[in-house]
Amino acid sequence: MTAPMSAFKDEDTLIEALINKSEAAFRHAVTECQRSMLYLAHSMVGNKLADEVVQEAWFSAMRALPKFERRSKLKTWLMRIVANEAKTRVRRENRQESLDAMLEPDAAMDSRFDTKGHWQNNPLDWDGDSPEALLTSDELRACIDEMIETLPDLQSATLNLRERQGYSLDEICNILDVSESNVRVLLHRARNRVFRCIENFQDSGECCTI
Amino acid sequence: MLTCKQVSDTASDLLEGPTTLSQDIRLRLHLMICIHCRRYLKQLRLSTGVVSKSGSAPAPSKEDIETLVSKLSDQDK
Repeated sequence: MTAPMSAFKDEDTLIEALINKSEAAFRHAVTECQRSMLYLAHSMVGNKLADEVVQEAWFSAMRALPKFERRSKLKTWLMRIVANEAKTRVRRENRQESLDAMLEPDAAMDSRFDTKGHWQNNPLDWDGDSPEALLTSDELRACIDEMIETLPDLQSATLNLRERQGYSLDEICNILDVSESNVRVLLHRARNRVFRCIENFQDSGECCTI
Repeated sequence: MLTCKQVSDTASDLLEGPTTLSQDIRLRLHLMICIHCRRYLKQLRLSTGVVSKSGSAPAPSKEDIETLVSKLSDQDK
């Protein structure tokens, strides 16, 4: 029997029901959070492993729930557990790039400026004034997705959480366990990669994900 | 006066909203005279729009939800 969503009048009630292993509470929480959790996992470990990572995160979360201190929303806490599971998986597969490496200066961007800090390789003028206009090309859409998959896990996760899921910088710090200044750098690097990807596509009509 | 590289280095922060007043004034002065930075900022903003509009997370099916709910209910039984 499915309990109506209104059965959980607030988050504390829901958490108590989850701790008591109420099936209706599980259904409510999964319905509310699964999509976001999968989207984040997908950005960090790819499509093949995302389901497994999220399922593992649910099990870990439900075991840890009695100790949840409720300093963040339940969903943010669940997302943090997904990020941790995904990081563990990336580490296990030796695909992890260190945070320090991800924060190093962006050589591809820096080379576009001369020693006085002026553009020497000017940004090209794009043909298209809105995201919709740019995305009329299916090739560009596929290229962007392919490029994002090549980003290091934390850059890809930051981009996913900020641009595609609308999380605030504060929440992203909490979910990824990274300082705000580092989140800002990760986001800037990732955005510049997208910028260069679109620029290259506009210039050559070809997809370059490097 | 800000250099173009300094504008580029802080561009992403600018997209997140207003920064300090002095930085805002220095940026505006730079953008008044630099078409390349105006173009870069505009296109960086467009890039973020492209990312947000190009992706979508499919909603999990009812069947997937029920499978997971039953696994969670069976846990530690």
